[in-house]
Amino acid sequence: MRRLTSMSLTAKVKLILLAAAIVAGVALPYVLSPFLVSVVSLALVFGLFAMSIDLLAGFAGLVSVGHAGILATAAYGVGYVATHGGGYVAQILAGLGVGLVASIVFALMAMRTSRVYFLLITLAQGMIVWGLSIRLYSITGAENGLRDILRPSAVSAYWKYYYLCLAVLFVCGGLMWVIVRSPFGYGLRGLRDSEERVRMLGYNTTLHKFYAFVLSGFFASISGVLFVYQNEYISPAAAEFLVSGTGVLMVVLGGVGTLVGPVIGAFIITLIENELSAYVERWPTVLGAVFIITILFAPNGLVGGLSRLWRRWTGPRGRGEPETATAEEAAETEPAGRSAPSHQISTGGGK
Amino acid sequence: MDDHALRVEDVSVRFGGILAVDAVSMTVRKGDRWAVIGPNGAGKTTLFRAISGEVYPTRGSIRLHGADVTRAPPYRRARRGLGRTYQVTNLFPDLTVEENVLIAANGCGRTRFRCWWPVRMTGELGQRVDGALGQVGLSQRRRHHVQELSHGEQRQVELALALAGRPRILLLDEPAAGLAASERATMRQLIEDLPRDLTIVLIEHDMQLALDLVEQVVCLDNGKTIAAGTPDQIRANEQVQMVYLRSD
Repeated sequence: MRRLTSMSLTAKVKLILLAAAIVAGVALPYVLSPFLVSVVSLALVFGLFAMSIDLLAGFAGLVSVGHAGILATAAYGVGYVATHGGGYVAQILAGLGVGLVASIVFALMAMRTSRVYFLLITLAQGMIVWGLSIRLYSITGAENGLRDILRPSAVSAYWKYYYLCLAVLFVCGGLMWVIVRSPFGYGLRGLRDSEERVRMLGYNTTLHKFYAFVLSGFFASISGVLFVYQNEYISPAAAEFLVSGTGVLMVVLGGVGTLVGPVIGAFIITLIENELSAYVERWPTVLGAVFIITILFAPNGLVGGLSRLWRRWTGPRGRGEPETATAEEAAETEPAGRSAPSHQISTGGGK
Repeated sequence: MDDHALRVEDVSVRFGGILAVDAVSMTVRKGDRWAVIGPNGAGKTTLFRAISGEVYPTRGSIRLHGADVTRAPPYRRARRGLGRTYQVTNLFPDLTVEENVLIAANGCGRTRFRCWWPVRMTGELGQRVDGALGQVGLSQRRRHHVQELSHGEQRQVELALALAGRPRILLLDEPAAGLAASERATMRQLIEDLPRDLTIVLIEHDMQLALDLVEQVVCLDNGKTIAAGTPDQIRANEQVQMVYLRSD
């Protein structure tokens, strides 16, 4: 209790929002139709997928546009074992295993790159998986995909599967929350802001990127396993660039580097895709408009924008308190700027 | 046992047709304080970049505490006790002062790959952060975002980042760059107060500041060493004066 009273206002608000999210999450199947609950389950799966992208993009500054390749690899792992008579444990382990192997291979390919080169390599990785999923008919079923991948009986009902997705999202979200606040996570943040600097501080940035990619890929693999059971079907469409691109857009829409934001972004996009499309033929136009408005008015995404507003409201300026001069302000009033270094050499006096 | 903290032998750095550093040598003993001076474009920062591993020398060798690090990446040199600050403030802008220093303290620590528990400001990591912030006088500002700080304070955070890794050799690239007179005095005092067993090599445009802080000076021009010696010898050196008069 004493701990609760000593918390900051922001921490209290976060705790209240988390509690509200849990209550809403638990209550949802009681108030929504089965179809909508299934749509929300899919949003939770994509929420986890988007969070895995955010772990790399938001905290290490590495935007992957090939993560659908990892999701699809894990999904195919489950599907392959399921269609060959394997049990559920074997299916899940196979899904996570091949997803992890794909992540390690992808990480080895991408870890020496950054910025646009990283983006291009991950794009190629996603395309490779998509290409293989079409070519390897004996494993993937090519365009026909793999069908009848049934959920475990314990979660076969739509609402049970929803609760499973919710629980997995909470657990994985919690793990990612810990990772980004760990010493490793702070190293990633440093890497995002200045790779040159962290290298000079003792970080082997290549190795840091490798671990970050593998961790991110592992969470993408989990979302792949949930994805295939959600649809009970997997096809090359899951590995398409569109899925990776949508994942990145979910992150941008919700807020890069926020973890919660990508889940909100996933909800918005999944709901627009699945609900609005039933009423509006040109729903992609609506989606595009939402993106443009978000980028224009909340370039840090919805959560990033709201956080900024909250900080402004609760920070020194919001309370009308004066702030210290920032570096930019100081530079403007600088009497001896960098452009005029003092080159005088004194001939008199010594130490 | 090598008594030298840093030994730069005949180091040259070439970028295409430009020889930025031309056969520079310097031997810095443990605890010594050196300055590298020279007009703009003399090759001072390139020499620093070669020492810290951001560029590899085209020729020559670099040894830190007796170990040859000529081809070693920057992080290996940092773990061997080399710290540096940058000419242009190079911080992590979205984070607080404390988090900035934490990243620096973590870099050479054993916990940098630990990902299964949130950071706690206790133990050795906390001590390093507290120590570095205390050394630069920013303990009271630890919870502020670095963007909220004045330029002078940001330069102090820059110094704290270099100190948090507990370096044995510190390269300071224009630590007083762009500072107002009062901030410059603060920075000067901070550098003077650094432990005497810490080897320091600094680049500084403010000659008075540089020569007051060090015992040995190397003057570069067009990548070459044109003079080396004590501050008094450098002050009296006609070639150095010519170089500075020319640049003015």
